[in-house]
Amino acid sequence: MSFYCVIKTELSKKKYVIAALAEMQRKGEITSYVVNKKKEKIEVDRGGEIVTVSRANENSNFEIGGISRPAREISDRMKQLYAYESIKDNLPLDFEIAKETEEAGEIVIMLKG
Amino acid sequence: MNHDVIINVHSVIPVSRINGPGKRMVVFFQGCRNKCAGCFNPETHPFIRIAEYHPGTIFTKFYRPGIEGLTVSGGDPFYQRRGLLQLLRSAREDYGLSTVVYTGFEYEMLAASTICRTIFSYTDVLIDGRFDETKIEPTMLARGSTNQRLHFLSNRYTEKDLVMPGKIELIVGPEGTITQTGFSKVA
Ligand code: SF4
Repeated sequence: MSFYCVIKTELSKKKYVIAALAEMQRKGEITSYVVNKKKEKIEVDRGGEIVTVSRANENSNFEIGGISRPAREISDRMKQLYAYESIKDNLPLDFEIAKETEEAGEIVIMLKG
Repeated sequence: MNHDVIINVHSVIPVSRINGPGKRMVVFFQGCRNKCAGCFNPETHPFIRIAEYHPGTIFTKFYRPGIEGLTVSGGDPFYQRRGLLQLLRSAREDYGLSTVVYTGFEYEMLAASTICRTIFSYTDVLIDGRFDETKIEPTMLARGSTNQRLHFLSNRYTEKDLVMPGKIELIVGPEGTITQTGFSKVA
């Protein structure tokens, strides 16, 4: 049998949240984002729709606030890119990425090892 | 078609590229008593209800156009033979899909049963035998251990079609869920 498991992504690490937002900005999916370093808060602008990414303290997960539709859309995409960035950053040494593609809304990473 | 057959399914991956030739829907059956040490999927062993589907419903719910085939994994699909047969028959006759089936049983033992021989008539490739963690498959061949045999039951595929593009596939869904599959795992 082949292996199967599913992991749900929680937005716990700020560096991957920022990496995900930077990638969204690079791809033109958001207009800009501003990180408030003191308050664990990031303000995201998507064509005038403002969404807030924040957490209560350093040990909790980031959550998205704002108008529900853009908040949900930005949150979903951010979680996807967050997962992608954290996978790339945490690959065990005995594995390497053989191929990566984005199709039908999914990011597919093939590992050799 | 027999509509009273129900399959207890652990999970379904609508599109995988590492569970047999091309893009494939992968159905993981629930339930196995084979107790292979080091099995990748121990949570598929208990015979408890997880998600029960008519075989046809699996396609209406999870089928994505453009896939090449269906792979049945598990759990061991041969604990649900009637459901397995209906699923494979529907894959081939209703959707034109190729079929790959994994089992911990051995072909010769299964072939003594009439229903299994009918199942084989709807199976392109059967990968049989228990997983042996002392004989991990070192190449990209789509099996867990080297003792497992590839039986080409039709002329659709040859061994080179079962050489996968990687050991592990990570599918990051649109809401960030990560599905991991393949013949190794990231700890
Ligand atoms: S037959 Fe398959 S599911 Fe069952 S214990 Fe062996 S490897 Fe695991």
